[in-house]
Amino acid sequence: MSPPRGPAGLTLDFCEVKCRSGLGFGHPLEAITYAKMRTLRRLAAVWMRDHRIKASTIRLDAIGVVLQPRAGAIADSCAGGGLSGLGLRLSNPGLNLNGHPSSGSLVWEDLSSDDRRTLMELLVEEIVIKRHPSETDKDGRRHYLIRVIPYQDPQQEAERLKAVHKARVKIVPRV
Amino acid sequence: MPATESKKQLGVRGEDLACAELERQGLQVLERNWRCRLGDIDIVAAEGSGRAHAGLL
Repeated sequence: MSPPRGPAGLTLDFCEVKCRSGLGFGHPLEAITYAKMRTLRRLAAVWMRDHRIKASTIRLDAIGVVLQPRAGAIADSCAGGGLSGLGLRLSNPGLNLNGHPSSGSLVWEDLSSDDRRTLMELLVEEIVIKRHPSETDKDGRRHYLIRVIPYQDPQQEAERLKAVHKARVKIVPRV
Repeated sequence: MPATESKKQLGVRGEDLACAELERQGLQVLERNWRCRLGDIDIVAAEGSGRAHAGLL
């Protein structure tokens, strides 16, 4: 059965995706700013004109993906032949993993970015995917709560996170 | 530069996962990484009774 052509009942969903490994620098959704969503709104219109697609509703979504390192798995791999068995080379020799297979002494923050990447490939346990929280009012308009955080380097950003302010942003879908 | 590369990989991975999640929720992914001079859209997906016809693209 071929789907009906044309706009009836079609919702187009335009997504901005942010992915982070761990929450050390805050939730990825925090990196999605009002300006980005405003740009996305503009791009959505361009895309639709470009593709000659009409929709009854458009939706702008921010999707945050968090890759959580699986702490338990590190100990598991130590018990089963050590991390070298996984092809992981620790760049910090101070970490005595094999001596403490279950002490939890391996700290994510102590790993080099290479090691983190390798671990992430092997040991990701949980993937959190969230859409940006929004509310729909009685007119069917979606209201997004977007934290406005100008880009900073990670340390400054961490400082700023303490003083995050929220801005109420209204994004009105055009039919 | 390896650091930049890994960041890029992380981004691609995130988009892969987001696409999979959208499809699991019953949406149809129409396009990824669409670019124009104004910027780029990570994912365009369609939802609803009138799903976008492939012929429209």
